[in-house]
Amino acid sequence: MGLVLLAVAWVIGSARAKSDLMPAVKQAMPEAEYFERQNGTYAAWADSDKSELLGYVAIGMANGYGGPLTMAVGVSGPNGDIAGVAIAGHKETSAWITRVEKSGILESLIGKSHRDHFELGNDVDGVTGATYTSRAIAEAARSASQDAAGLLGLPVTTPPPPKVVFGIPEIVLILLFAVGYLAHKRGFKYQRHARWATMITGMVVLGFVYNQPLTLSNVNKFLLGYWPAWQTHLYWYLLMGGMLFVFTVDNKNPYCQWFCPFGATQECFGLIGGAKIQTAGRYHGFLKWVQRGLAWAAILVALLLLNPGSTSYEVFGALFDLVGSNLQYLLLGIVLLASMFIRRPWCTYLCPLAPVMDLYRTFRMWIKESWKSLGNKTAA
Amino acid sequence: MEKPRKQNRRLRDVIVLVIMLAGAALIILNTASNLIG
Repeated sequence: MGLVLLAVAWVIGSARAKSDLMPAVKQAMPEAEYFERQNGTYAAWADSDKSELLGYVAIGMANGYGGPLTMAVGVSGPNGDIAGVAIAGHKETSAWITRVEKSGILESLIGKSHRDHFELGNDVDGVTGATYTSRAIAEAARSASQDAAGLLGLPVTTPPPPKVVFGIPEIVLILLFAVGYLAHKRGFKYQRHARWATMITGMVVLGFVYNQPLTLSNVNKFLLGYWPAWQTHLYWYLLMGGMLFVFTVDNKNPYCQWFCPFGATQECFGLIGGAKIQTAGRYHGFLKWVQRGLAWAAILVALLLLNPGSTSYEVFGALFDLVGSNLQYLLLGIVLLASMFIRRPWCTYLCPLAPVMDLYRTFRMWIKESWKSLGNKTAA
Repeated sequence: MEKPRKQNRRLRDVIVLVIMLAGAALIILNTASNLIG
């Protein structure tokens, strides 16, 4: 029943009307009084008499952290320089988009030429902790500025293929998956040591340095079909692909117990306090249903809103990047304090990913059993 | 009369229940305020 409702939410969400672009178009060319739509772009006129063409506003799209990010970019003048930019639509978490907007990255694009590279760290300064969003803004702006410049009759070069982003987080993730997969096998002599080594590495690298743990947003993105370009989002593919691969082949969850940054943080607090309590005893079953209900509701709303990050309620940003609301900081404080006495309280009773993984495990078992019974029937 | 150990365990379970329900309530409040705001 729960799954059927999720499917219904997905269908309703997909059928919803697309957002209105006009406010962003106006923002991208504020001096224009009249806009005329022409094949997905907008001719910007000084007045409704169409006596003076100021330039063109084009819409560019690229994949951010949560999903597609759309930019309206106004281009004018003989050189096709950017006159104004505005975010027309996005699927990012509100805290990150606020951070990006305040950083001045949008203003820094004004005056750039359509011939520029729009490369993070080269001619566009990325925002720390919001690299994917910054990159999407730059890419969308480049694509839109080229479209608009083409309409102005300026020569437009074919954009180069996106560069493959393969750095420390990707390498560390592959290593953690490999160690987690090999070392959790029974009989491995240094299992305890290996587990602590992967947990601390996960906490430091995937948590505090890069803040890229697995979140409900990643899962929602997968379910909504927002599969970004592999070249720029290789980390997401490695994380989701690695999880699905090991889970399917080995029925083991290599992430949670071995290198989840927040799980490791809780265990570190557990070391301080002793953390002897395992479960809530007689209330364990009830709390597990609360956890499932929260996760289900969060996925349902995300599918309805077509926004993967809108209901991702983890407190990782508050801990690893110091970005979060007061309520998130309060929740983080409670969880970390509780971790001193209860073993991994977030993972056991609040993490939305645990029910998702349980469901996947059940689904896998069901397929396996069905396959087996089908084989037996055929043999008989 | 319940044995003290059993009483302690019961109290411990209630404390864990209250903490986790408080966490769930904070999650709901925060998500709702994000969606509305």
